[in-house]
Amino acid sequence: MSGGFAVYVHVPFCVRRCTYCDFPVVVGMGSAERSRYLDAVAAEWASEALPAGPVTSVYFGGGTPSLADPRDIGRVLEAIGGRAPIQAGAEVTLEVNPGTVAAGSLADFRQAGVNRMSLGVQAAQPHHLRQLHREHTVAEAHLAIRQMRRAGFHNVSVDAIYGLPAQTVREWRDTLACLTSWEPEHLSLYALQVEAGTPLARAVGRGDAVLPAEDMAGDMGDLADVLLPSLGYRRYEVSNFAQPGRESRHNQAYWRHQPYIGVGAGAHSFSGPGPDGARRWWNVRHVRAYMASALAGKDPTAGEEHLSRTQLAGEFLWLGLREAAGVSESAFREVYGRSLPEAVPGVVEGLVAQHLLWRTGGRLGLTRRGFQISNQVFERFLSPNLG
Amino acid sequence: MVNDTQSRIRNFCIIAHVDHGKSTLADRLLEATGTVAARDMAPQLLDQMELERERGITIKAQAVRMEYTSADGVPHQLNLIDTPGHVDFAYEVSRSLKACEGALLVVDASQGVEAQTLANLYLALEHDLAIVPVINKIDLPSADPEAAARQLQEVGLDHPPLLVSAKAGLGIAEVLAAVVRDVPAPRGDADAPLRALVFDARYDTYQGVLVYVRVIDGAIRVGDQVAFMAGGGQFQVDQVGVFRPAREAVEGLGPGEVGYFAASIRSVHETRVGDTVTGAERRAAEPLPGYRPAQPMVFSGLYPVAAEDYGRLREALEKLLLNDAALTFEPETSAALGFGFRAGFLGLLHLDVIQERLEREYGLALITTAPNVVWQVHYTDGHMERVDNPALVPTGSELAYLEEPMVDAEILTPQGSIGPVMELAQERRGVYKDLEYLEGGRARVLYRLPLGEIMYDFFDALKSRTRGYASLDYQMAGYQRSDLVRLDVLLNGETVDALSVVVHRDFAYARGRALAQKLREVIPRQMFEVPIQAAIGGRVIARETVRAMRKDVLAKCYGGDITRKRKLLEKQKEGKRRMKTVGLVEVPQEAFMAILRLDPE
Repeated sequence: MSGGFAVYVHVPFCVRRCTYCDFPVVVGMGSAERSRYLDAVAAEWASEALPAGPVTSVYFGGGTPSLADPRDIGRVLEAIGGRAPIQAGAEVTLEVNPGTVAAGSLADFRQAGVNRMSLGVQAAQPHHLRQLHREHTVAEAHLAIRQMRRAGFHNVSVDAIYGLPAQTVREWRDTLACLTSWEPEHLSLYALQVEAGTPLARAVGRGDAVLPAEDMAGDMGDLADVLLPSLGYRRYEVSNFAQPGRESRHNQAYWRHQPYIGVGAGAHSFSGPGPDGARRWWNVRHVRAYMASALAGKDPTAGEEHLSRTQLAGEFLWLGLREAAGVSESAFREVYGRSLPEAVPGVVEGLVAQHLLWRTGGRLGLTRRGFQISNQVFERFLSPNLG
Repeated sequence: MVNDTQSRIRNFCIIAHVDHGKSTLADRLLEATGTVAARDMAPQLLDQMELERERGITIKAQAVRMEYTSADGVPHQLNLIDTPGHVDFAYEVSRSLKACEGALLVVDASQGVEAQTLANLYLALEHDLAIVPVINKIDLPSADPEAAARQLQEVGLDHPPLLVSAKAGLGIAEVLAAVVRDVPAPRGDADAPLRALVFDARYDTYQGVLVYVRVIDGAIRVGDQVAFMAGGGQFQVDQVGVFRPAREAVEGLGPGEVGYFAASIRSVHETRVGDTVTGAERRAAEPLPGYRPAQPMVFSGLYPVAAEDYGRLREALEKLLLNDAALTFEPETSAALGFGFRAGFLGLLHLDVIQERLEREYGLALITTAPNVVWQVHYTDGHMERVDNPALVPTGSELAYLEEPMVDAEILTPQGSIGPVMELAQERRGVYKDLEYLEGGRARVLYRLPLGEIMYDFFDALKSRTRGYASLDYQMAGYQRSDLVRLDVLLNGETVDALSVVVHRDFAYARGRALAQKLREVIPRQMFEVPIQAAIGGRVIARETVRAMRKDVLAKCYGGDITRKRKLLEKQKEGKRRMKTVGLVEVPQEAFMAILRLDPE
């Protein structure tokens, strides 16, 4: 283990809820209450038991963290640094929604310690932005990137979603072309997930929203693979592309079983693997319930699970395989005491024969085909036999 | 000689179409005679099995003794023998009727006489039962008791019908009075050697098999040595009892009486329904007439989805067998499905019930192959074999010809639907036998049909073409030579024996195409492309493709919520446990039943 841990801060404010969103968010919180929310985050942080080592990355995710006052973000970063050293050069990301942030405050965020921005664009067509209830235009997104550059951010990521209702392959190609023309260092390209209980799920249920057929969504997924490498982006994970050296450290922490502490409503934490397994726990999702609890000095944890060694070993494999670099067979044997052929007999050979995995130089990873249907591959690694 | 006790016994059953209120009427009779207090009544007490209650059908026969004092103050013993209510169990129905002297014929006041009611009525008349017609549900707004009464008259019942609402408790006293007045007392010889008719049997964990009997002559007492005249077994009677409706031990059963005995019998297979019980020492000269062993008509392969469940499946089948004399099973092996059993059933309902009990009561995940009949395979060397598995029907030059079982089907339908009914029968290779116009706008259509053709969705098709009005009854009518061929299915280039079916040559192409199409719909996309082929004798007649899965990714991992991701993967994996891996292809249960659910061309 490289040592140290990652910190995730959930910032749940939004101007409007997107149709596909099922994260803990609140709409219409005033600036005073937003500051109090970050007080609650700082209070929770103060009482967290922390893993050893420095903080390797901090990620402000949302919600719309860019709605927060930069001074509040600065306060939280100070609080974090006050209890654990933030590694020199640690990645500190803030999620930004176009149109939510003034040019001046970008510099303030930078001043506060943020050094990476992740811009939620999602689509480059006004009608798709509208159907998703995104409160911005494509032009505003472009403007946001230029402002970030001016404010001195040299590590910017953009998000987009494919497989939207009524989306065509051509539209997705246009979205990719548009986003890459802005020359971000990093791209997160997500396949749309219809989560139960969201307005999108209801629209799909009623037949008001029609999702693209599997083959079409598959074509969209393939498109990035074809287009992005020639533009200097490398796929380094199932849904993430980056210029060399610009891979997100914070994301990698999740796939590499590094410990992480999540603060804020609904945030998840992970103890890191130990001899008896590991622990994962998460906070109450309801934003105001979270605030009341954290501000009163109470533990806002809502649930937890213990991961057995078997589950951990399974995660080591299927989380590790999310990365293009794949997993190291010797690292698995060192940590879990068994070779892959013993732990998952026949599985690797079968998947290699089906051209879903490659296996070279003591590593194995997903092929391009494997990336398309990665869940089918991961399923095989859920419960390895550790003897 | 009819003694005094005998003259005060009445044995009767209730004949009714499904849903016409047989069970509710039985409940009211039990209440009115004080056999069961109203507050103790579970709805439809006689339908004991959970499945029976859910489906509103009776699978096992029941017998309850009631005490009833008639209006003139004479105490009577009334035995109500409940009969199974489905065509699959027709033989069991006929045995139950043999145990009675009379029958209540229950007709729904709004539905009138149904085909199944008629079939059972004719059976009852064949057994010389006195028939008391009852028109039930007279309190319903749609009730038309006059029309129902007319129909009863048309089918030859002169007895004035009793008007009843079992649900509301109307007319129950009149029913009891009519049973005493119109059903004859049993006539048996108390001094003759014992002859008792076995009309059902049920396995009890503590006492072994409880044999349900109607004593005809003589008596059966605790300690007696008894013998089964057809089955040949000899046993010492441990207990004799009656159902009221809970079991109650008695010293013995005399002529005309109905009850059970236990004799440490280990399996219901030693006590075939219809057999005659007699004294081991003092044997009756002649058994009671009409015994025939229960014979399975349809066969199906039962395979555990997980190979390691094979032993549990065997144990479960053995347990069910203790209580089901009509069920048969033998181990078989399928190249595609591994180790399993070929099981024989009375009909599709019976198969369904067994399959559901295995899954529900024993927690087994099963693959059931499409049910089929038994063919008689004639070889060129002159010998004949009975084959109950389509994969084993030969296709080479050693085959001379095939014979398939036929049935005589009787369809009652409104006259306006005669055309569609005949069309359907014709499509299913039916041979027209007779058409008779009945009173009340109905008609009786008789066809000879292959059992293999009506086994499938014939009944549903009949219902849909007659807007639900037609009904069906059938009887076996021997074997007939037919131009049948085996249709094989190949998945990913490999023949899947468990998907083979035997069809008539004239339909082979159409069914092959339809089957391949259906399989394409029900087999989910896999990690690779799966060709589906239908072939006759090695020649491919239809081809479809299940295209490879294109996209299956979980993208977002918000705030490190790995737990949710893992649960989704676990759920995905669990879903596949319901599928059988054949070669490399994951095949769901529906695929094996696809032949039954082909879309009409």
